[in-house]
Parts: sequence; structure tokens; C-alpha cells
Amino acid sequence: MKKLSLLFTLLVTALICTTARAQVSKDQMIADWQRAKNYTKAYLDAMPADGYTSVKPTPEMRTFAAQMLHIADGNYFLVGSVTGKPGPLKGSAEQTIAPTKEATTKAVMDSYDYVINLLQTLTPDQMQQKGKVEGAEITAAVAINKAFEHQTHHRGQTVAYLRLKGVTPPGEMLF
Amino acid sequence: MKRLSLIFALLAVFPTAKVGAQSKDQMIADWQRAKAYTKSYLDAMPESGYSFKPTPEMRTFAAQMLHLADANYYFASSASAKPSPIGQVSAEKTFAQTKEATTKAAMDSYDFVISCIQSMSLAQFQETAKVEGKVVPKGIIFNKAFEHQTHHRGQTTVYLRLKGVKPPEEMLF
Repeated sequence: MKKLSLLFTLLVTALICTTARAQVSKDQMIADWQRAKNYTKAYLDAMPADGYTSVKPTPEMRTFAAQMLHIADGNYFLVGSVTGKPGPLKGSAEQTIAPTKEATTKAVMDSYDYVINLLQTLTPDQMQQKGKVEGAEITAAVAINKAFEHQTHHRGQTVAYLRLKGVTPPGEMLF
Repeated sequence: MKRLSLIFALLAVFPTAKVGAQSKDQMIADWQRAKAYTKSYLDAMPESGYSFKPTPEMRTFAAQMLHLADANYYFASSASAKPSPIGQVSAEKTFAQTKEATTKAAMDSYDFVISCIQSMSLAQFQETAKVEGKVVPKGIIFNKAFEHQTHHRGQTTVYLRLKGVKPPEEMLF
């Protein structure tokens, strides 16, 4: 009887686990972030050094360097706030890192490494632990997906920056 | 012993370490948010801006949005095995690039994605399908579509600015 109820508990737990969370493995998330890192690196490489601060489609918009550093800030902020494991930077990358090609590239790549390294250490339980960011209470896994969407959005904007600079943007790296 | 091996079998079938991120509800909520987000961009661009392109090599604003619709149809149809409601044609190549027609086409493509996700079982998300010459789990195919629309909507932020329009706030939540 004891064994039967244990079996039942296990079954129910297993079913709850599969219904509640379904589709994406942590390995897949890590692979996506590694791809995103390479994808962003291709953009950082494609923009010539002088375009980092000279290209700004309108006065209200960020420069190319600022867009990229803002991606770094988003990676640290969204993921760090919810997991309680902040990145190494004291302030905002956009406000403190030199907007040169070299410094920007390093800062942005470091922020992807931060997410990838953190993903590697998070247990399945920790992935489902909730934390607060932007007034919302979300799980670590969802926060990491928000950061992914955020970097896709801002990298996407810089396609037009490259074109305005006369550079053909790297091919879309969806796979 | 039999029971014990059954337990092991169960544990093997439901590897909790492999389930990372999303529930079906979360996917649907994300796509509904993405739809509203794109709608706010479509609304923000004046009619005259639909034919605008930052450089001659780039797509127009309407073409970006119709391209996004084409990809939504392509990915969701590949994952769900449901035929695209617009058939084999490309929205970008055949639809009128007016504000009204583009808005309708883009919104319809989000509705199709959402209905495909709703129609699928959890087991089906783990099955694979072919997309862009690759064999990919169906759940991942929807994520590719999501990334694709985020990328192209993102590009149009610059289009809005160049037309003197303040882009809608980022709707990450």
C-alpha cells in the first residue's frame, strides 16, 4: 500500500511536471544563447570602428555602441534581478563602458557569457524559482527568455544601422 | 521489484532535468503579447510610411511586416502540419502593401500561430518536423518563429524614428 501510494505520488508529480513545463530543455536554451552570442558578434564585427558612435539614425536614437551596450545591460538586469545572481558590472554598461569597437565587443560578449554560465549552474528547481523584475514576478526561465527577446529586438534595430553605414548585415542566424 | 522498476521507468520517461522553460500557456501568452506589440507598431506608422525604406536595399515597412507574416505562417504550418490559410503564396509578394491590408495580414498570421499552438498536445511539441532543411522539435519551431518576428519588428523601430514617429514602448511584459 505504501509503495502504491508512493507510485501514485510519483505519477502525479511526473504528470504535473510535464503539464506545467513542457517544451524547451536547458540544453536547448544554452545552445540558443551560444547562437545568439555568435549572431551578435557577427554584427559587432561587421560594423566598422567609426560606425560605433557615428551611426545614430536620428538624434533621439541610441548609437550603434549604445544599442549593443544596452543589450549587455538587459542581459545582466533581467537575468540578475530574478535569479538574485547579479553580473560583475557596478553600473550600466551603456553609461560606463567606452563606446569603442573593442571595449563594446568585450562588454557585450561578457554579458552573454554571464547568461550562459549561469544557465549551466541553475538546477531545474532554480529555473522555476520566481523573482521580481520590472514590477513583474516571473521564474528564472521566463526571465532568461525575456532577456533573449530583448537582445533579439535591439540587435534587430542595428540591421538598419549597418545598412545606413553601407554595410551588408550578416545573414539571419536563426539556426 | 516490479514496482521499483516501474518507478525507474517513470523517472526515465519524465526527466525533470530536461524540462526547462515554457508551458503552453506561457507560449500562448507570449504570442498574444507579440501580436499586440506588433499591432502597436502597425498603428504607429502613418499610411504614407508603409512604403518607406531606410536604404534602397532594405524592405519597406509593409514588406517587413508581411515578411513576418509569411514566416509566422511557414513556421506554424511546418510545426502543426496545418495548411497555411493563405495557401502557398507569399504575403510579401502578393498582398497590397497598404496599412489596412498589411495590418490584417500580419494580425491573421499571429492568430494562425496561436490557433496552431492551442491545437497541439504537449507530446506533439516534442515531436520533430522539418523546417529550413533541418529536423527540429516542433516546440522549438515556434520559438524560431517568435525570434524571427522579434527581429523584424525590431528593425522597424528605426523606420518609425526615421519617419519622425516615436516608437511604441517595448512590450517585454
